[in-house]
Amino acid sequence: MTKSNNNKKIVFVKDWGAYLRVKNGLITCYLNKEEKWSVSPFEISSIVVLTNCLVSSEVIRLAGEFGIDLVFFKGIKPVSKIIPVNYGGSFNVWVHQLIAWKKRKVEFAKQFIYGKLHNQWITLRYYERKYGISLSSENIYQLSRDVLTESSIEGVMQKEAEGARWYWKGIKNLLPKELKFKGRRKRGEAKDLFNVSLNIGYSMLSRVVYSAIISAGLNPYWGFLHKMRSGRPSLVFDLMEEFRSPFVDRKLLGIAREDPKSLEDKKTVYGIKFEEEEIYTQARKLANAVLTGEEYKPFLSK
Amino acid sequence: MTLFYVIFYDITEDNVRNKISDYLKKKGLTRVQYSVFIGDLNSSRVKEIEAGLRLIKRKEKSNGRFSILIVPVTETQFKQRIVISNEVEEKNEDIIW
Repeated sequence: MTKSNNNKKIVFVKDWGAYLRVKNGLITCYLNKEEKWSVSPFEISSIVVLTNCLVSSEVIRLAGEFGIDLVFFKGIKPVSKIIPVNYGGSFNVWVHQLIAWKKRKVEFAKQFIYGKLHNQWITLRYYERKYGISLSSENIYQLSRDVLTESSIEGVMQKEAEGARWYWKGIKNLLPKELKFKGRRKRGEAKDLFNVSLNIGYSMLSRVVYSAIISAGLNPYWGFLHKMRSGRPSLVFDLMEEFRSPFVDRKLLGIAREDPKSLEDKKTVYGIKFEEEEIYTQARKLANAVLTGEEYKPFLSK
Repeated sequence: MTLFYVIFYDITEDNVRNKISDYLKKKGLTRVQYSVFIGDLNSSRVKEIEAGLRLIKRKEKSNGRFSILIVPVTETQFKQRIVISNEVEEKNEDIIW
Protein backbone atom coordinates (compact mmCIF):
# COMPACT_ATOMS: atom_id res chain seq x y z
CA MET A 1 0.00 0.00 0.00
CA THR A 2 1.58 3.28 -0.99
CA LYS A 3 1.46 5.94 1.57
CA SER A 4 4.01 8.62 1.67
CA ASN A 5 5.68 9.80 -1.40
CA ASN A 6 9.08 9.96 0.20
CA ASN A 7 11.40 10.88 -2.62
CA LYS A 8 9.60 8.70 -5.11
CA LYS A 9 9.33 9.90 -8.67
CA ILE A 10 6.21 10.77 -10.56
CA VAL A 11 6.13 9.81 -14.22
CA PHE A 12 4.24 11.71 -16.90
CA VAL A 13 3.58 10.13 -20.27
CA LYS A 14 3.05 13.08 -22.56
CA ASP A 15 4.42 11.88 -25.91
CA TRP A 16 1.79 10.73 -28.35
CA GLY A 17 2.24 7.09 -29.32
CA ALA A 18 4.58 6.19 -26.47
CA TYR A 19 4.70 2.53 -25.50
CA LEU A 20 4.99 1.42 -21.88
CA ARG A 21 6.07 -2.10 -21.14
CA VAL A 22 8.00 -4.10 -18.57
CA LYS A 23 11.54 -5.11 -19.43
CA ASN A 24 13.70 -7.03 -16.92
CA GLY A 25 11.33 -5.96 -14.18
CA LEU A 26 11.71 -2.28 -15.08
CA ILE A 27 8.88 -0.12 -16.40
CA THR A 28 10.22 1.14 -19.70
CA CYS A 29 8.92 3.76 -22.09
CA TYR A 30 9.62 3.54 -25.81
CA LEU A 31 9.07 6.31 -28.28
CA ASN A 32 9.47 5.46 -31.96
CA LYS A 33 11.21 2.22 -30.98
CA GLU A 34 13.77 4.12 -28.90
CA GLU A 35 13.98 3.68 -25.16
CA LYS A 36 13.06 6.98 -23.57
CA TRP A 37 13.34 6.04 -19.91
CA SER A 38 13.35 3.01 -17.69
CA VAL A 39 12.53 2.91 -13.97
CA SER A 40 12.11 0.36 -11.25
CA PRO A 41 8.58 0.11 -9.85
CA PHE A 42 10.15 0.79 -6.43
CA GLU A 43 11.22 4.23 -7.56
CA ILE A 44 7.90 5.71 -8.59
CA SER A 45 4.74 6.72 -6.81
CA SER A 46 2.56 7.49 -9.84
CA ILE A 47 2.22 7.22 -13.58
CA VAL A 48 0.13 9.98 -15.12
CA VAL A 49 -0.85 9.39 -18.73
CA LEU A 50 -1.64 12.66 -20.48
CA THR A 51 -2.01 11.48 -24.06
CA ASN A 52 -2.78 8.52 -26.31
CA CYS A 53 -0.29 5.76 -25.75
CA LEU A 54 0.04 2.01 -25.35
CA VAL A 55 0.32 0.47 -21.91
CA SER A 56 1.01 -3.23 -21.57
CA SER A 57 -1.04 -5.30 -19.15
CA GLU A 58 2.16 -6.18 -17.32
CA VAL A 59 2.64 -2.50 -16.44
CA ILE A 60 -0.91 -2.34 -15.08
CA ARG A 61 -0.29 -5.48 -13.04
CA LEU A 62 2.97 -4.11 -11.61
CA ALA A 63 1.31 -0.81 -10.78
CA GLY A 64 -1.30 -2.71 -8.79
CA GLU A 65 1.28 -4.83 -7.05
CA PHE A 66 3.44 -1.86 -6.03
CA GLY A 67 0.56 0.48 -5.27
CA ILE A 68 1.58 2.84 -8.04
CA ASP A 69 -1.14 5.32 -8.88
CA LEU A 70 -1.91 4.85 -12.58
CA VAL A 71 -4.16 7.61 -13.94
CA PHE A 72 -5.31 8.54 -17.42
CA PHE A 73 -6.08 12.14 -18.28
CA LYS A 74 -8.20 13.53 -21.06
CA GLY A 75 -7.12 17.10 -21.65
CA ILE A 76 -6.36 18.33 -18.15
CA LYS A 77 -8.88 16.15 -16.38
CA PRO A 78 -8.34 12.72 -14.85
CA VAL A 79 -10.85 10.33 -16.41
CA SER A 80 -9.82 6.94 -15.13
CA LYS A 81 -7.69 5.38 -12.53
CA ILE A 82 -6.52 1.85 -11.95
CA ILE A 83 -7.33 0.73 -8.43
CA PRO A 84 -5.96 -2.58 -7.16
CA VAL A 85 -8.62 -5.08 -6.13
CA ASN A 86 -7.48 -5.30 -2.51
CA TYR A 87 -7.29 -1.57 -2.13
CA GLY A 88 -10.13 0.08 -0.48
CA GLY A 89 -13.44 0.21 1.12
CA SER A 90 -13.83 -0.99 4.62
CA PHE A 91 -17.35 -2.21 5.16
CA ASN A 92 -17.54 -0.71 8.62
CA VAL A 93 -16.42 2.71 7.43
CA TRP A 94 -18.90 2.64 4.55
CA VAL A 95 -21.83 1.89 6.82
CA HIS A 96 -20.88 4.71 9.16
CA GLN A 97 -20.26 7.01 6.22
CA LEU A 98 -23.80 6.41 5.05
CA ILE A 99 -25.15 7.11 8.54
CA ALA A 100 -23.02 10.26 8.76
CA TRP A 101 -24.27 11.31 5.35
CA LYS A 102 -27.86 10.99 6.58
CA LYS A 103 -27.36 12.67 9.96
CA ARG A 104 -24.23 14.83 10.00
CA LYS A 105 -24.08 16.40 6.53
CA VAL A 106 -24.03 20.01 7.66
CA GLU A 107 -21.53 19.34 10.42
CA PHE A 108 -18.97 17.97 7.95
CA ALA A 109 -19.75 20.51 5.23
CA LYS A 110 -19.14 23.33 7.72
CA GLN A 111 -15.74 21.98 8.66
CA PHE A 112 -14.64 21.56 5.05
CA ILE A 113 -15.52 25.15 4.24
CA TYR A 114 -14.17 26.46 7.53
CA GLY A 115 -10.86 24.84 6.59
CA LYS A 116 -11.04 26.25 3.09
CA LEU A 117 -11.78 29.82 4.22
CA HIS A 118 -9.19 29.71 6.98
CA ASN A 119 -6.51 28.57 4.54
CA GLN A 120 -7.51 31.20 1.98
CA TRP A 121 -7.21 33.81 4.71
CA ILE A 122 -3.73 32.53 5.65
CA THR A 123 -2.60 32.73 2.01
CA LEU A 124 -3.67 36.36 1.58
CA ARG A 125 -2.48 37.34 5.05
CA TYR A 126 1.00 36.09 4.25
CA TYR A 127 1.31 38.60 1.41
CA GLU A 128 -0.38 41.37 3.40
CA ARG A 129 2.20 41.03 6.14
CA LYS A 130 5.08 40.61 3.74
CA TYR A 131 4.34 43.79 1.79
CA GLY A 132 2.27 45.76 4.29
CA ILE A 133 -0.69 45.94 1.90
CA SER A 134 -4.37 45.20 2.39
CA LEU A 135 -6.13 42.45 0.45
CA SER A 136 -9.28 42.40 2.59
CA SER A 137 -8.23 39.11 4.15
CA GLU A 138 -10.05 40.00 7.37
CA ASN A 139 -13.35 39.62 5.48
CA ILE A 140 -12.45 36.03 4.73
CA TYR A 141 -11.42 35.50 8.34
CA GLN A 142 -14.81 36.79 9.46
CA LEU A 143 -16.59 34.47 7.03
CA SER A 144 -14.59 31.50 8.32
CA ARG A 145 -15.93 32.27 11.81
CA ASP A 146 -19.48 32.85 10.55
CA VAL A 147 -19.64 29.60 8.64
CA LEU A 148 -19.44 27.62 11.89
CA THR A 149 -22.80 28.99 12.97
CA GLU A 150 -24.60 28.05 9.74
CA SER A 151 -27.28 25.40 9.96
CA SER A 152 -27.79 24.45 6.32
CA ILE A 153 -25.71 23.32 3.35
CA GLU A 154 -27.03 26.30 1.35
CA GLY A 155 -25.87 28.69 4.06
CA VAL A 156 -22.42 27.09 4.08
CA MET A 157 -22.15 27.36 0.30
CA GLN A 158 -23.17 30.97 0.39
CA LYS A 159 -20.34 31.78 2.81
CA GLU A 160 -17.99 29.86 0.56
CA ALA A 161 -19.07 31.91 -2.48
CA GLU A 162 -18.69 35.18 -0.58
CA GLY A 163 -15.22 34.13 0.53
CA ALA A 164 -14.29 33.19 -3.01
CA ARG A 165 -15.19 36.66 -4.28
CA TRP A 166 -12.82 38.33 -1.79
CA TYR A 167 -10.18 35.71 -2.23
CA TRP A 168 -9.86 35.84 -6.01
CA LYS A 169 -9.93 39.61 -5.93
CA GLY A 170 -6.93 39.39 -3.62
CA ILE A 171 -5.16 36.87 -5.83
CA LYS A 172 -5.82 39.05 -8.87
CA ASN A 173 -4.01 41.92 -7.14
CA LEU A 174 -1.04 39.70 -6.40
CA LEU A 175 -0.60 38.41 -9.94
CA PRO A 176 1.58 40.13 -12.53
CA LYS A 177 -0.60 42.14 -14.91
CA GLU A 178 0.76 40.36 -17.96
CA LEU A 179 -1.11 37.20 -16.98
CA LYS A 180 -4.38 39.06 -17.65
CA PHE A 181 -6.12 37.23 -14.82
CA LYS A 182 -9.64 38.63 -14.55
CA GLY A 183 -10.95 36.27 -11.93
CA ARG A 184 -11.39 32.59 -11.32
CA ARG A 185 -12.86 30.64 -14.23
CA LYS A 186 -13.92 27.03 -14.05
CA ARG A 187 -12.82 24.30 -16.38
CA GLY A 188 -13.86 24.86 -19.96
CA GLU A 189 -14.17 28.62 -19.55
CA ALA A 190 -10.57 29.06 -18.52
CA LYS A 191 -8.60 30.66 -21.29
CA ASP A 192 -5.91 32.58 -19.46
CA LEU A 193 -2.69 30.91 -18.37
CA PHE A 194 -3.19 31.19 -14.62
CA ASN A 195 -6.70 29.71 -14.65
CA VAL A 196 -5.54 26.84 -16.84
CA SER A 197 -2.62 26.26 -14.45
CA LEU A 198 -5.02 26.25 -11.49
CA ASN A 199 -7.19 23.68 -13.23
CA ILE A 200 -4.21 21.43 -13.85
CA GLY A 201 -3.09 21.86 -10.25
CA TYR A 202 -6.54 20.95 -8.93
CA SER A 203 -6.65 17.90 -11.20
CA MET A 204 -3.36 16.71 -9.78
CA LEU A 205 -4.61 17.43 -6.27
CA SER A 206 -7.84 15.49 -6.86
CA ARG A 207 -5.80 12.51 -7.99
CA VAL A 208 -3.96 12.40 -4.65
CA VAL A 209 -7.06 13.12 -2.56
CA TYR A 210 -8.91 10.29 -4.35
CA SER A 211 -6.12 7.84 -3.49
CA ALA A 212 -6.02 9.03 0.10
CA ILE A 213 -9.78 8.61 0.49
CA ILE A 214 -9.65 5.10 -0.94
CA SER A 215 -6.77 4.09 1.28
CA ALA A 216 -8.58 5.41 4.36
CA GLY A 217 -11.44 3.05 3.48
CA LEU A 218 -13.96 5.75 2.66
CA ASN A 219 -16.29 5.74 -0.32
CA PRO A 220 -15.27 8.58 -2.66
CA TYR A 221 -18.79 8.95 -4.11
CA TRP A 222 -20.66 9.89 -0.95
CA GLY A 223 -19.97 13.54 -0.30
CA PHE A 224 -21.38 15.77 2.44
CA LEU A 225 -21.09 19.22 0.93
CA HIS A 226 -21.09 18.50 -2.78
CA LYS A 227 -24.30 17.09 -4.16
CA MET A 228 -24.31 13.46 -5.08
CA ARG A 229 -24.33 12.83 -8.76
CA SER A 230 -23.83 9.49 -10.41
CA GLY A 231 -20.17 9.07 -11.28
CA ARG A 232 -19.00 12.17 -9.45
CA PRO A 233 -16.60 11.55 -6.58
CA SER A 234 -18.25 14.12 -4.30
CA LEU A 235 -16.24 13.25 -1.21
CA VAL A 236 -13.03 13.92 -3.16
CA PHE A 237 -14.31 17.42 -3.93
CA ASP A 238 -15.25 17.87 -0.26
CA LEU A 239 -11.87 16.94 1.12
CA MET A 240 -10.06 18.87 -1.61
CA GLU A 241 -11.49 22.19 -0.48
CA GLU A 242 -9.16 22.67 2.46
CA PHE A 243 -6.06 21.88 0.36
CA ARG A 244 -6.74 24.00 -2.70
CA SER A 245 -5.31 27.24 -1.37
CA PRO A 246 -2.24 26.01 0.54
CA PHE A 247 -1.18 23.25 -1.86
CA VAL A 248 -2.08 24.59 -5.30
CA ASP A 249 -2.87 28.32 -5.28
CA ARG A 250 0.02 29.27 -3.07
CA LYS A 251 2.56 27.35 -5.12
CA LEU A 252 1.31 28.58 -8.48
CA LEU A 253 1.11 32.12 -7.13
CA GLY A 254 4.74 31.87 -6.07
CA ILE A 255 5.79 30.67 -9.52
CA ALA A 256 3.65 33.29 -11.27
CA ARG A 257 5.05 36.15 -9.21
CA GLU A 258 8.60 35.04 -9.77
CA ASP A 259 8.39 34.29 -13.48
CA PRO A 260 4.94 34.28 -15.12
CA LYS A 261 6.36 32.86 -18.34
CA SER A 262 7.41 29.66 -16.61
CA LEU A 263 3.74 28.67 -16.26
CA GLU A 264 3.79 28.03 -20.00
CA ASP A 265 6.01 25.04 -19.35
CA LYS A 266 3.49 22.35 -18.52
CA LYS A 267 6.14 20.29 -16.75
CA THR A 268 6.38 23.03 -14.12
CA VAL A 269 2.62 23.11 -13.59
CA TYR A 270 1.99 19.37 -13.59
CA GLY A 271 5.06 18.89 -11.42
CA ILE A 272 4.11 21.03 -8.42
CA LYS A 273 4.66 18.94 -5.34
CA PHE A 274 2.07 18.22 -2.70
CA GLU A 275 2.68 17.26 0.89
CA GLU A 276 0.95 13.94 0.25
CA GLU A 277 1.52 12.78 3.80
CA GLU A 278 -0.72 15.60 5.04
CA ILE A 279 -3.49 14.60 2.65
CA TYR A 280 -3.35 10.96 3.73
CA THR A 281 -3.37 11.97 7.40
CA GLN A 282 -6.41 14.16 6.80
CA ALA A 283 -8.26 11.35 5.01
CA ARG A 284 -7.61 9.10 8.00
CA LYS A 285 -8.91 11.82 10.33
CA LEU A 286 -12.05 12.05 8.22
CA ALA A 287 -12.57 8.28 8.35
CA ASN A 288 -12.04 8.42 12.08
CA ALA A 289 -14.60 11.20 12.57
CA VAL A 290 -17.08 9.23 10.46
CA LEU A 291 -16.50 6.07 12.51
CA THR A 292 -16.42 7.43 16.03
CA GLY A 293 -18.87 10.31 15.77
CA GLU A 294 -16.15 12.71 16.93
CA GLU A 295 -15.86 16.17 15.47
CA TYR A 296 -13.94 16.45 12.21
CA LYS A 297 -11.12 19.01 12.30
CA PRO A 298 -10.00 20.24 8.89
CA PHE A 299 -6.42 20.82 7.75
CA LEU A 300 -5.45 24.31 8.86
CA SER A 301 -2.35 25.73 7.23
CA LYS A 302 0.02 28.06 9.02
CA MET B 1 13.21 3.21 9.44
CA THR B 2 15.43 3.16 6.39
CA LEU B 3 19.17 3.33 5.93
CA PHE B 4 21.32 4.02 2.94
CA TYR B 5 23.00 0.93 1.62
CA VAL B 6 26.00 0.85 -0.65
CA ILE B 7 26.37 -2.35 -2.64
CA PHE B 8 29.70 -3.19 -4.29
CA TYR B 9 30.40 -6.21 -6.42
CA ASP B 10 33.39 -7.76 -8.06
CA ILE B 11 32.44 -10.45 -10.54
CA THR B 12 34.56 -11.80 -13.37
CA GLU B 13 31.97 -13.37 -15.62
CA ASP B 14 30.09 -10.94 -17.80
CA ASN B 15 26.73 -12.69 -17.86
CA VAL B 16 26.66 -13.15 -14.08
CA ARG B 17 27.67 -9.53 -13.55
CA ASN B 18 24.91 -8.34 -15.87
CA LYS B 19 22.37 -10.47 -14.03
CA ILE B 20 23.42 -8.88 -10.75
CA SER B 21 23.27 -5.32 -12.08
CA ASP B 22 19.89 -5.93 -13.76
CA TYR B 23 18.58 -7.36 -10.52
CA LEU B 24 19.74 -4.36 -8.49
CA LYS B 25 18.21 -1.95 -11.01
CA LYS B 26 14.95 -3.86 -10.88
CA LYS B 27 14.95 -3.50 -7.11
CA GLY B 28 15.12 0.26 -7.45
CA LEU B 29 18.73 0.90 -6.53
CA THR B 30 20.68 3.67 -8.21
CA ARG B 31 23.88 3.01 -10.08
CA VAL B 32 26.63 5.37 -8.96
CA GLN B 33 29.60 3.56 -10.47
CA TYR B 34 30.05 0.61 -12.79
CA SER B 35 29.95 -1.84 -9.94
CA VAL B 36 28.52 0.24 -7.13
CA PHE B 37 24.84 0.79 -6.37
CA ILE B 38 23.16 2.79 -3.62
CA GLY B 39 19.66 2.74 -2.27
CA ASP B 40 17.50 3.85 0.61
CA LEU B 41 16.12 0.60 2.01
CA ASN B 42 14.23 -0.74 4.99
CA SER B 43 15.25 -3.96 6.67
CA SER B 44 12.79 -6.19 4.85
CA ARG B 45 13.91 -4.94 1.47
CA VAL B 46 17.56 -5.52 2.40
CA LYS B 47 16.75 -9.10 3.35
CA GLU B 48 14.87 -9.57 0.11
CA ILE B 49 17.74 -8.19 -1.96
CA GLU B 50 20.27 -10.29 -0.07
CA ALA B 51 18.22 -13.43 -0.74
CA GLY B 52 17.86 -12.52 -4.40
CA LEU B 53 21.60 -12.00 -4.83
CA ARG B 54 22.38 -15.30 -3.07
CA LEU B 55 19.94 -17.04 -5.36
CA ILE B 56 21.67 -15.67 -8.46
CA LYS B 57 25.03 -16.82 -7.07
CA ARG B 58 23.69 -20.32 -6.43
CA LYS B 59 22.06 -20.61 -9.82
CA GLU B 60 24.99 -19.34 -11.83
CA LYS B 61 27.68 -21.47 -10.13
CA SER B 62 30.30 -19.11 -11.49
CA ASN B 63 33.89 -20.31 -11.55
CA GLY B 64 35.47 -16.87 -11.50
CA ARG B 65 35.56 -14.28 -8.74
CA PHE B 66 32.21 -13.56 -7.17
CA SER B 67 32.07 -11.13 -4.29
CA ILE B 68 29.37 -8.73 -3.15
CA LEU B 69 29.48 -6.29 -0.23
CA ILE B 70 26.38 -4.64 1.23
CA VAL B 71 27.31 -1.76 3.53
CA PRO B 72 24.81 0.28 5.56
CA VAL B 73 25.48 3.99 6.17
CA THR B 74 23.34 6.59 7.87
CA GLU B 75 21.86 9.38 5.81
CA THR B 76 24.08 11.88 7.61
CA GLN B 77 27.17 9.91 6.73
CA PHE B 78 26.03 9.53 3.17
CA LYS B 79 25.56 13.29 2.84
CA GLN B 80 29.18 13.76 3.93
CA ARG B 81 30.48 11.70 1.02
CA ILE B 82 33.25 13.19 -1.06
CA VAL B 83 32.97 12.83 -4.80
CA ILE B 84 36.01 13.34 -7.02
CA SER B 85 34.88 12.92 -10.55
CA ASN B 86 34.93 14.55 -13.97
CA GLU B 87 31.23 13.93 -14.36
CA VAL B 88 28.66 16.25 -12.91
CA GLU B 89 26.63 14.35 -10.37
CA GLU B 90 23.20 14.21 -11.87
CA LYS B 91 20.49 16.02 -10.01
CA ASN B 92 17.89 13.67 -8.69
CA GLU B 93 14.80 14.85 -10.53
CA ASP B 94 11.57 13.70 -9.01
CA ILE B 95 9.67 14.09 -12.25
CA ILE B 96 10.03 12.02 -15.37
CA TRP B 97 8.48 14.03 -18.15
